[in-house]
Amino acid sequence: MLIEQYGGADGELSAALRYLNQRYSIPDKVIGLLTDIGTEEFAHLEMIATMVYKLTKDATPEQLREAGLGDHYVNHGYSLFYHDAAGNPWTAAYIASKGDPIADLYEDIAAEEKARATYQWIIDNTDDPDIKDSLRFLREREVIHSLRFREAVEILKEYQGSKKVF
Amino acid sequence: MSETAEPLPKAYYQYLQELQALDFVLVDLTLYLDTHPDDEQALAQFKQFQKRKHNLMTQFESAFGPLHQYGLSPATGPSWAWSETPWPWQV
Amino acid sequence: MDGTSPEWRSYVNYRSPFDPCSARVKWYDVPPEVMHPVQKSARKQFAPQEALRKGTLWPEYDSPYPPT
Repeated sequence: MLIEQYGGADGELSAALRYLNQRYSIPDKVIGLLTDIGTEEFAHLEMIATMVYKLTKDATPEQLREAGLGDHYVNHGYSLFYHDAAGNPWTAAYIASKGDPIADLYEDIAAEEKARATYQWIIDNTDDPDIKDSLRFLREREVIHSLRFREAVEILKEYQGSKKVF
Repeated sequence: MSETAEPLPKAYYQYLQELQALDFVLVDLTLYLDTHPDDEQALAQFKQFQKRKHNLMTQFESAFGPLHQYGLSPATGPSWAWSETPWPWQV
Repeated sequence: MDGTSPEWRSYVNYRSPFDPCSARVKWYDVPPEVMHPVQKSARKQFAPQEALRKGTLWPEYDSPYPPT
């Protein structure tokens, strides 16, 4: 399930690559934000990887099979890989970059809300309290990211030259 | 590398815990400042935390080696410490 | 979910008279960034260790899950 947030459509890898890619064509005022959030997503990716690593590194192949990771083990052993919970490999089809600032930012807001919801469903399905804590942290980060992208839309609504004080 | 690594001193974990909190404040403040670049108070707070983090990092790194690669952290000591364990997911 | 958290909205959809399941109240989240899409001030903050635990510096955007 955690792997969904690693290599899935609404996962951290998708988020990082989406934002870091969009930032080349977006207005100057918003490049910093996209760079910063994109970079933070890589840190989250490492957090997910750490959780998966800790949960699987000493598991036996039987235990992995029981957990639904049998196919993954055959293909990858104990290594991680960029696929979703169903085994579909990560693809750039998961991200969009229209080159239109408003379209791109709304894609980003949607991505954050989808990630937030995904974390909710994973938390519902987890009983490990430490994993739950980490997932709650990650879910809250999505709330904040969504907020910043919404603010970025407001920034883009402003005309050149006027300074908005929130 | 070592078979079973010697346990790290408690200070290692205490430093990491505090660095984590400081870093996190800097992250959330950075995002805020990205969309509120004119907030002077937030900027002042950012500078303050930056200093605290820098001081703490200097102490941590002189005891336990570099936290950043590519020369962003000083390479002190006689041998190349960057490749030493533990890595974050192993801590 | 007991309806005391302001973030959560409940709804009951149309239920057919032939539906064997009893009527179910469902919930959805309207998280703080949707209600307040622009942060007004940086004044109110959690202390660093608590912020780290909660996942944000900003109490106004703290969204506990499962809802308290």
